Amino acid sequence: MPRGEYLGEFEQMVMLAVARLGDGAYGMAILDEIHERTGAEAAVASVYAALDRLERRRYVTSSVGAPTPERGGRAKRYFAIEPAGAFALARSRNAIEALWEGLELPTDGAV
Amino acid sequence: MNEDPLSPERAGPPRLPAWLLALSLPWQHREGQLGDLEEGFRRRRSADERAARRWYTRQVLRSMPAALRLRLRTTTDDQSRGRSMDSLTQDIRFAVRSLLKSPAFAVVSTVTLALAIGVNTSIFSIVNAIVFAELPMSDSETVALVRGVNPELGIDQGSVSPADFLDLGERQRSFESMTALTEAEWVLTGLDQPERISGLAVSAGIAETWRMPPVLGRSFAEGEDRWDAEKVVMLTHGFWQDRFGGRADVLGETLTLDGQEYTVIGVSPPQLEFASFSRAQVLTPLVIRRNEPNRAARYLFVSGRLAPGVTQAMAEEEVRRIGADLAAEYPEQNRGWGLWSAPVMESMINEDGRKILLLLQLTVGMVILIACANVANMLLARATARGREIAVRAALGAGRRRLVRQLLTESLMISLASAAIGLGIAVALNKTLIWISAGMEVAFIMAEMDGRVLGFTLAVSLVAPIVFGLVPALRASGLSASDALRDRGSTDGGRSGKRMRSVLVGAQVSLALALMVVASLLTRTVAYLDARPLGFDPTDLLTIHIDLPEAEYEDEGAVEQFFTLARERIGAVAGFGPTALVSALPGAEFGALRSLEIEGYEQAPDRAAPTVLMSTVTSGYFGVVGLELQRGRDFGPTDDASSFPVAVVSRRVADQYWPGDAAVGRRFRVAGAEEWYEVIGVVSDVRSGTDTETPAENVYVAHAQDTRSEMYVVSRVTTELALVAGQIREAVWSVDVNQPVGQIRTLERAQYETIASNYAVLTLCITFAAFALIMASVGIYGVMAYAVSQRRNEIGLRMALGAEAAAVRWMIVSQGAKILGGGIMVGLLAAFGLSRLVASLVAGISPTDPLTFVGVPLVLGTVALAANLIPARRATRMDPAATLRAD
Repeated sequence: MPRGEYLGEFEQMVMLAVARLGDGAYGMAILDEIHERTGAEAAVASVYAALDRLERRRYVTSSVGAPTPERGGRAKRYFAIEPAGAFALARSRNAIEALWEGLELPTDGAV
Repeated sequence: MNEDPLSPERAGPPRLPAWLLALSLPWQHREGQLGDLEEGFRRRRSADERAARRWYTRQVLRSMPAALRLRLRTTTDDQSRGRSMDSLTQDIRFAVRSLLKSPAFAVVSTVTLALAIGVNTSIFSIVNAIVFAELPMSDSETVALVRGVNPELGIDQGSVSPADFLDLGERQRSFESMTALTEAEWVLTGLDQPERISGLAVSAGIAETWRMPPVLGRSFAEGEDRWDAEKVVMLTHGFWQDRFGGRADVLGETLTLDGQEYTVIGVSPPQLEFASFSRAQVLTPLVIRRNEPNRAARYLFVSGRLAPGVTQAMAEEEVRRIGADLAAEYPEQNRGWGLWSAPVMESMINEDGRKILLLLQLTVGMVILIACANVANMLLARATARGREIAVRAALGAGRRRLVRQLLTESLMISLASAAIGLGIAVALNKTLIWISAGMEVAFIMAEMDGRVLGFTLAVSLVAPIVFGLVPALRASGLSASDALRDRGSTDGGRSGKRMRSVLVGAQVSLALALMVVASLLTRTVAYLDARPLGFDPTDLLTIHIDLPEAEYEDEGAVEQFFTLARERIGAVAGFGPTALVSALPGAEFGALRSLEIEGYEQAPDRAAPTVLMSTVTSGYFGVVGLELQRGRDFGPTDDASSFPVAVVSRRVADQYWPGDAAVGRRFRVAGAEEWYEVIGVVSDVRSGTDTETPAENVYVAHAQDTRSEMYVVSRVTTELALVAGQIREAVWSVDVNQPVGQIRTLERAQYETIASNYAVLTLCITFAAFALIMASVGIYGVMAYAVSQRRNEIGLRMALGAEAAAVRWMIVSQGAKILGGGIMVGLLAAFGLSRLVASLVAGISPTDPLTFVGVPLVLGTVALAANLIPARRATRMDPAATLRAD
């Protein structure tokens, strides 16, 4: 199977956040979602860079919303998962789960 | 807390980070991301403003890599209009395809540039070797060279005597250390074969003064330069590599130099091998006797390391003062002599040579510009022809930038291909020059294709496309340069441009003609020199150079004995005929020039004394070489030191001074000498080594009566040189095991080596001339092709109205011929001027040789007209209807 068919970890996190947020998936919301769920604080440009990459692969689409005052008059950019993206996410998850199947690793309960 | 949302400190996120991020992000991403961050900032600000600011700044800093990645990605997109395919690869593919579609253009322009780049690279590699040569001293700005000067004798780069060096060393305060060295030669024995090696005798301070740490072992210590110290030697890096394979355990071994044992203590670093030092193989301590009385023997190369805080100017003043003191104290030997110091950089690198080389480089650099102009002309013609293709591409949405980029990529392809070929040409040219010059010590031997040379070629090939490709590309893509010109008020840009192109091409024709004339004159001269009758056959005549060290052969009897034995043993080698000795190789070396006083010869008062080439030979020499004994006898065993001095003269000498075949029995003596020689024979002439038509005036004297320690053994051989070289050496060593054997070569080779420099100059000259011819032809082709492309409509109209193809062709050809004719006229004038300059180099023909001055313009005219014919034929082959429809 050619390289690039599986998603990277950060890409998965970003896409899952987008999927969870549904219609409200824009930059700051995605950052917050990731932070809330995982405790990880992502840099805004990294998130956009990942989304930009995913958009080129047609896994997500984006659209520009209306400007709002709390954003200093700037518009939001909303993201949405495409079917191909959902498929890729599922496949990545299956691959990882298949590899985890029946595996126990000593992690000293640190996770 | 002030809740006013418009108050400055509450108005928004920190400015500097915001600005930084905005700067890093591509514009498409600015709005979304800055908006997100501001939203996050505002939300956090309501809790803790400082934390919010920290958060914002951290976000920006952590975003930087991703932001730059985004920018990079988006920039490439812009150019390929959103396609992810690498647009450069696409451009290159397209360029190659479009060049393959017009192979004639691709080949001609590539060859043009390749020649220009090749010649430039070759010259640059020479310039590089000389101009950027590194001095053997580290931190050379604090090293000064001390030289002996004598304004009366016009010496400003003289050496220093040992006694003066010692006194200077004691009196001066400007230098923290000083060193002196001199070139020396030894006979090395005990290591394979005895051989003469050269090296430097250096005083102990050299490592300190030059800051030249040895690569192995140590340098000379204080006291090792005393005459009674234990003998030690350093090897130069090259000698160590060549002879000892770079072995580290060479330290402690002994070398036998001039019969004395020296212990190897170290290896000098490679940077010592600079200019004339590069011949050095070993270094020994320089022994200076304390009370050396002779200050007139000046042979030391003296340098010093400036003490901290002392400037070159201060040192110079002190050195001058000490020099003046020494002249006053020792007037009998130092009168008129002074000492002088200067920064080593200025003194060791030949400024004039540097300037000449840079000038040469500049001149040759102009050639690249001419080549670029030629290619630009062709590109312009091509752009007109491709107008439709480009219009279609523009209509399909190719932006102007994209089109220019595409056209420039094509230019770059041409130029890179040219650089690759040009590099090959440069390597071949350098190799040819080295091969032709037969090991002469000349600059191009040092020329190497190092990183700097490759960088130069690459830089040229990257800049050239901009020079020759930008204007055609701009014009082709619609942003016309002529529009720009018109805006500035010039209504005649096209015509003056055309005139400029014509003048440029005319100048190329003139230059080509002048160069071709010089090349032709030199070729005919060399051909003439080669064709002169030699007087004998040099092909299988082997010569062996033997130079006996005078220290060991002070006595003439010993020399005579050595050569007699050596001749016998060499003659016994299989394949050797009879052997003889000669002091100067005929046709290759001059021999000693002597003025004669001839008994009974009435010398015209206003004429110089008869001057002949005198060489020393043994009996049998004439037979070995093949000179015919026309009168009298050869030298015999009775002609020795105890008998009356005798001589054999060449036919020309006999005819000149003793007309009527009356030479034998007559007498002459060397002007100013006591002794008379009696002529005992007359032999046939040999060719003069110089460029004159007349044979040399040779006088031969007997080795037994004029014993010399440096002679050539000559013999006709019937075997291969490679097979007998070892046996020849064995034969010599069987006489004296410590005697080095010099060059062994055929006389043919020796003769070639003396004239090799002629061939090197000739090769350069022919290369330049051929190159100029190609340039001029390509130039005419380019300018005419462009003219034809500009006049397509007019030509189409004429053809449609029934003009004969031949008439149209003639119209085009005559236009090119006008440029050509003008160029040839100017070129002929220039060539006449040049021929006077090179007259001294020309022999056997007149400097205004009619064959040259008629033949060269004919050749040039024919080639250039042929180049002119291509666009002319193209003009008449155009479909009139198509050309008229095109616009």
